[in-house]
Amino acid sequence: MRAQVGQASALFFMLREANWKDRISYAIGKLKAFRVQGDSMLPTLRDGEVVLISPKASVEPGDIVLAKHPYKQSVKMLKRVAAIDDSGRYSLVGDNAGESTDSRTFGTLPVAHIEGKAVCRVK
Amino acid sequence: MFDKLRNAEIEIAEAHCDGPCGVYDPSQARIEAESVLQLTKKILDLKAPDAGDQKASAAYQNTLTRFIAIKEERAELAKHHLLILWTDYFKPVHLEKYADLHDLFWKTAKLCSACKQEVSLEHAQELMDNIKRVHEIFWETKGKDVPWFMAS
Repeated sequence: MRAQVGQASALFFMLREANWKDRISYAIGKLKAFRVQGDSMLPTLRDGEVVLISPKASVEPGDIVLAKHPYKQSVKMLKRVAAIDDSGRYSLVGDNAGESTDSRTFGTLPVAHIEGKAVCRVK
Repeated sequence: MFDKLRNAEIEIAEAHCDGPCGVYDPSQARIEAESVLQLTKKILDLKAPDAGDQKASAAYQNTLTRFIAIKEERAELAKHHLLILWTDYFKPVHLEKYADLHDLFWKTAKLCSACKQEVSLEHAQELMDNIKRVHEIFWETKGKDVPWFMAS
């Protein structure tokens, strides 16, 4: 196994709620909105909830990211970054690991598949 | 302006499992195994007719053959549903909590075969007991309290 450059130390930290700055960022297009579909990110994200994604924020292990699915071109998914290896590939895992298809199934993903970092959720 | 975040037009980000439907339930295996148990009982209870009564003999052969054929088929279906749960539903994270999971499924699948090969009430009951354990583990992983019950 490759040495892991970064690894999430504390998984499952919750995503904060959107504040007025986030709302302005969304209004001017700096943040993108996505609706969560599915239970793989429970208890952090619920089915139907809306999250705001920053395409430019730097991503570290422990962050929740929006990623392109490796096989299904039109599918974007939300997963937690479990680790980033020394070749820059991302290992993604759902918080609700028992009901998630993620890097345990499809392997690690290159940075080109990472479309942004989830910064907050909208109540 | 921000209210539109709540409307339905927002792009979807998937957070789920790749299973085509994601619907699993050990009840499928339980129902088939119940059939196996009942048919095993019926085969054991079936009385052979007196020698020489050709009509009764034909009826007996027909009934016995049907019981055996259906037992064979249902045991195979039970095994099929168990293997789906084992290979598609359960994941490494479940194995961490239920260390005997592989052993349980392996033995339960073998019991399905034993129930085909034999006319064994003991193995048919053992198959039910193992599927009950699968039921308990399955619903624990789902966080739901689903009581065990039988149709027969």
